[in-house]
Amino acid sequence: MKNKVLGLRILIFLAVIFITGVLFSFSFSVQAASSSPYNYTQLEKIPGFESAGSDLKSFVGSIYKFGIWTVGIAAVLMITIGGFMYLTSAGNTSKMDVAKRVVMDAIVGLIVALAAYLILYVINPDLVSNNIGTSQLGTSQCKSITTGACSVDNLKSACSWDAEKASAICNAESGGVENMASKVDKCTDGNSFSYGLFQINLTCQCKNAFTPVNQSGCVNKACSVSNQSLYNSCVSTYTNASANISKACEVYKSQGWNGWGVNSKCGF
Amino acid sequence: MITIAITLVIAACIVSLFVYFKNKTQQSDITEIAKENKSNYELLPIEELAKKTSLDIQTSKEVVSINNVYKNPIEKLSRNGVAFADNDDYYMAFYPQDNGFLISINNSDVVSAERKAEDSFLKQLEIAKDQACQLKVSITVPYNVSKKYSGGVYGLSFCSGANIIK
Repeated sequence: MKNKVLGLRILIFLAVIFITGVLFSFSFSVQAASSSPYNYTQLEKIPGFESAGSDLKSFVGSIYKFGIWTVGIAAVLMITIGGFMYLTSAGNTSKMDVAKRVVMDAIVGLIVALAAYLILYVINPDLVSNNIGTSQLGTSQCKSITTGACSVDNLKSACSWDAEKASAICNAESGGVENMASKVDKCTDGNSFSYGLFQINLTCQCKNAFTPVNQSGCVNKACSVSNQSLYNSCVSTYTNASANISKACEVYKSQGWNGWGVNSKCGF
Repeated sequence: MITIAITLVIAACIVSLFVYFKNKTQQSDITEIAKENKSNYELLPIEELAKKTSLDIQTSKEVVSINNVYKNPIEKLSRNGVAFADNDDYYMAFYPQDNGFLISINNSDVVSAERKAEDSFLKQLEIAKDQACQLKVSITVPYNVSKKYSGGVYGLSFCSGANIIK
């Protein structure tokens, strides 16, 4: 009975230490919903997992991994202590029983922790590899990319949009090429009018560079460049990655993903 | 007494664990940045990068040494990236954030242009196919080049397990 109370106290104490550590680490501030509703700036990262991402999913994953590490180290420690108690019991059967109980409890604790991992792994390996919900693109033919200006990492802080989908649209429109001039969207004089990562339509953005001028909308293919210097300046602006992304954000806010023709393929 | 002693030892160990892990990772972050920037080319100005004869790219298996793509850049890009090839068939760029290479196909004969891009990629970087397969290479096709292939992210055709253009 005494041993059970002792074991319970140790367990409660360990749990309190662990939960306190987690709560200290959980002191992160919400950094506006400008990037993504689940992104945070952590004031204190989980020890040993500082390089993990700053989203809630990575944070929970870090806590889980830290928990597994803690259980493993605590088990080794308790087995050592139990062994020491056993060695110094000097034949005292009650002390030997206590020592055995300590060792057994540590082993059982370790098995339970590892079994939890194993059970989750058997159900779905993604549960332990933190991959749940990684891709929100489903069966879409448009995929997000992780390299360059169209990368999810680059786009998630640029606008309050789904960065995975934005990356996929960006990839499909330009292939991630920052100065991409459309080979299809061309005026009658041969000048391209769609430029950059998100293939921003210049006839909508720099109306006075083209004839005819359509102040209420875009001219598209019936256009011709009437003001070359304004056109050049406009091209220069929208082949700049950040200006292009910023304009894409405006297009998204006003028209959603249907602001891009390629969404007929992507289906967002 | 033994109970209290054991409890205190465990508490001390767990607190030390927190402190140790924290210090260790902070220290390793600093040394990581300091050690020749093997995976932190994004932190160096492009002018500095251009002085190097080669770039060492850390992969999951080994460090792959490639020709310095910053030496003769076609265009400086955002995020310290650099375009090092651009013609009617393909466009190639390197971005240091993830040590990733972007190859975009410019020709509507996508399969043929992609094979040309692969050959050029190996030549320009002066690496073997097995080394290239260790690098992070994303091959893309814009919608205005090919509706069929656009939106996908493809790999090098000679790498096993890659999603290839065919």
